[in-house]
Amino acid sequence: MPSYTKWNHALVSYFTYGVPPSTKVYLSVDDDVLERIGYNFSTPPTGNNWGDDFRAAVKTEVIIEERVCLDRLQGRDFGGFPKGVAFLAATVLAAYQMAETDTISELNYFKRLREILSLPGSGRPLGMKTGSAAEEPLWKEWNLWLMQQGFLPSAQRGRGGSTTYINYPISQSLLRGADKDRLLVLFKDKQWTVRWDAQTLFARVRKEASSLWQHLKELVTEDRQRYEAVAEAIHEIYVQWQDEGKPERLKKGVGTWSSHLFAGLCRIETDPFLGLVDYYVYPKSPRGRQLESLQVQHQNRVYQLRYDGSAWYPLECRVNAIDLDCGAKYQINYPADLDSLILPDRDFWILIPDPENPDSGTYGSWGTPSLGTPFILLYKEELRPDLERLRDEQLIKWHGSQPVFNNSNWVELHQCMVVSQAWDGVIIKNQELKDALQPSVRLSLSFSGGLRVPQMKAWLFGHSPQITVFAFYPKAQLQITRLSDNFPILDKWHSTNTPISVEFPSPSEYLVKAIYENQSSERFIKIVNWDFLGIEKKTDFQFMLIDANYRICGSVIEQVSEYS
Amino acid sequence: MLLRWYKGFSHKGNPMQLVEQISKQVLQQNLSRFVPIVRLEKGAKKKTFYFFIAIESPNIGEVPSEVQLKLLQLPFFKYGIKGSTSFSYEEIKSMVGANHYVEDYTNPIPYQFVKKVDDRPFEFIALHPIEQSSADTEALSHRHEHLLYWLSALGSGTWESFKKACEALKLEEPKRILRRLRLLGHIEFAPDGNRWCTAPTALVKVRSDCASDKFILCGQRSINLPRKLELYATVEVKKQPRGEAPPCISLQIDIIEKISSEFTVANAGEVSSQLGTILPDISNWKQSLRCLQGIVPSLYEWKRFDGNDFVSCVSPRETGMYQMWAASEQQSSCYTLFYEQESNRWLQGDWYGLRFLALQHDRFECIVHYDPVSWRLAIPVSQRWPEIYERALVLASGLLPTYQGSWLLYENVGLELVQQLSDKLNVKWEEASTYA
Repeated sequence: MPSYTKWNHALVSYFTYGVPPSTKVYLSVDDDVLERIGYNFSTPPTGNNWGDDFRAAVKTEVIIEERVCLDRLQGRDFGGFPKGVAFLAATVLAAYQMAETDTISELNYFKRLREILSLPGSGRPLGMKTGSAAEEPLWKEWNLWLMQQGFLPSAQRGRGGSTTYINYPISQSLLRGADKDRLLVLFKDKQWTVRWDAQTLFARVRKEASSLWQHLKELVTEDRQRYEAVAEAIHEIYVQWQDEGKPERLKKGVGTWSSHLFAGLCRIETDPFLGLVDYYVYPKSPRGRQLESLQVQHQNRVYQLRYDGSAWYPLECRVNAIDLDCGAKYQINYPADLDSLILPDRDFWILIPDPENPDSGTYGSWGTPSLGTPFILLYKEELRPDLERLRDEQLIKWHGSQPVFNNSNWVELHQCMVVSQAWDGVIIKNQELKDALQPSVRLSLSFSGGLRVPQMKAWLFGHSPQITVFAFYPKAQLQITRLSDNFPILDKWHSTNTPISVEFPSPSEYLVKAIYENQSSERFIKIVNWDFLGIEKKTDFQFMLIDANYRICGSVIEQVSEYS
Repeated sequence: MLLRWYKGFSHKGNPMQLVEQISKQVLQQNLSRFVPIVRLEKGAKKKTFYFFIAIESPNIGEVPSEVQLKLLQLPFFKYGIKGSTSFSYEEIKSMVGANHYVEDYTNPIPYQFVKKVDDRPFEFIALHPIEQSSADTEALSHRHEHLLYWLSALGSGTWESFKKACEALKLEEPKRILRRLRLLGHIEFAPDGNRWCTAPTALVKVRSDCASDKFILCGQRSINLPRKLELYATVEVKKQPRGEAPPCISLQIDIIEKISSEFTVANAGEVSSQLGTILPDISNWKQSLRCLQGIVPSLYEWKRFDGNDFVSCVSPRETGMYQMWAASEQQSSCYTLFYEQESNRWLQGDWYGLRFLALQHDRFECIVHYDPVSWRLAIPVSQRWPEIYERALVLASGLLPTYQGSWLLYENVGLELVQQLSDKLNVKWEEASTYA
């Protein structure tokens, strides 16, 4: 049976592998997720299913003489992973189970958690008497680790009272079992057959919100911050439903992956002077699946695609207007259980700066634009009236547009930015466009400038970035704390939407927090010394041809015949 | 669900005072969630004009009670537009379009259009360096060194990222920095000018009077590498002229194999003499340049290089070096190209290289002076060589040229190299011993 540590690593990997930076991560563990994770272990489950094995592993690790012992789960393991994630996953499982049948309360939550841990009695178990000393430090460690990896945490404390600490796991639970069943009914009723991507499907589901039951309706209409995660979760169900031949109920304990991947768009400006732009596709990693390379075939050419630990390299095959109009399908040769890479047909694409390297000038469909960040909108000409309406209502602004591809109806809007929060009352024809552009937060933190080392996810000492609190408020409180000693280096109200230069006193790790009333945003920043910089070993050296026989890179001359 | 609609009024008076008063009330009474914007009629002046407040409410025409009580009681709202209690945006669009005055109460994020500057890496103008104090030189040298550390840590990147790094390190003129780093064998650049990549760490042999062999360190380097190399060699650090590039690190080594086995450092050999042998002649070099397709001359404005400066011309007809100018609202930039009339090709490449081609085509006499005693070569600043040929000269010493009047002086250049490269570039060389 896989150990607690093995589950812990597998869960961390499942929820973060292939996830683009700056994405909000939800530890939304349910039995389906556990089955999928378990499927990757080399042995079959010891119990009836992987969920039972998981529960047994957590119990073995944390229960000592009918007492929950979380001391050993504090901090990180040798691999640098937070040790408490599998236990937190068990708490999320309890939150799911409570939500399925009971009313939300501390009593019911701990009843479910006790069931998972096979503990008799009611209320907080022994060893977990105070949330602030027991489970909260584990959540904080997980949140900090996510920020250190470049993700955004989502688990948060409640607003006081009996749900203060149980809100952490509740905030992570997305689709309940009943929600999944209702979605299957909806897919069947609507006879949806198209292989939509997550955003398109989500817009379709939102249109049907009035026919959904209460919890699912809330998920797709309230709390915009969760939209992206909910859209992905609904899409997973939809893909599985299609792959299984559109059944009434999905198979339980299957744990297999979809046979196709979805692709996003990546935009590279090849010649700004001549206005030449190329579009490429890049694979989007399905949640939890660890793919390191792909072999894709398109028009008799075979392409190798690599995942470098943080992003996929784009497929070196240009996308044309027909691909955008009708979508495109690329055959996958490797791995064998994957059939195709699908570029969905969409009416528009939102292209944001590369989150790993915002200064690179490369844009792609890596996620939703953060507040204050200009993006490129690639759209079909027929959406122009909707976009003009949004501009006229002072919701978005842009500067300049440019048709792409010859004789196509695709146009790029340049330096597009969301400027207002007052979207609710404005109705446009294309609801999906509005959903995609409407901001999900009212306050966010942005780092710009400085000298960043992407491989280290750090800035160099003396060249730290400027910090901007983008918000729909005139001022916000900005706090910066050095994590090594919890030393506050800044706690001050600042004007929003204006870059602030901050003197970081020493190379270290810092937590930056912006607060306004009940809204807050946190980001992690690491400052390193120059002597931390090494030499990048994975450089693909660019050799320049001298003539037919020789080529040079810097001072190194090679004979072409040796390498061609 | 909320809907946005408009309520219209007429008013006689100062429009800006009206907006000011409404704004004050909306903000004081915290009504912006119901009244996000106010629009004035196009060309509203002190005479009677229309204005519209946007209202968000569950039903069109239904004014929220807070707005009715706290805002619409003000005297400005006395005269509602007759005939309609509510308007859609489409109905009032022609009167109050996006280009006309709008007051926004939603604390919008300020929008700033950033004018795109298309300063591609190969575009420059010939410049003489500015003299600076030794303290400035020291600081500049230090910053260039840090740039190389950063580039080495990243390995590769885009031209945009290179520029941003220069900006962060307060290094001006990134295009010139890029060329200097290429001359010194530290980085390479894609022929289309879009991406840079650091070069492999390598030891390049240079001529020396010492008993042991002398090498210069090229390519990727870290702050710790010279310290480590000190264990195996006598390391000397020499600043580049004017501090305009990372310092030259030279090593006196008895057995180079010791270093090669300990570090990932290539033994590149005597690169300048290798280049002297293998570099093509100028006409073959021209053939190797990147050819730019699809240029429609009538879409641009043109300037032709006359041997000294760029002068306006109608359209490129003769072979030569041209600036192609595009001026639009979003960008104003130029592209420097060499036009070859016989083949109707547009060639792209190193700016000095294109100028050298133009000079050769126009039969300017290109000259160099060489002092065989000091092993010093002088090239007129106005006839600077194409980058790869100049790299052969720079890698003979690991030092950038110094300026003396209108000449560039290269150190440690052997006679054979001078002869080889002069022949290949159709340059006339003369012996001279007048350079200090």
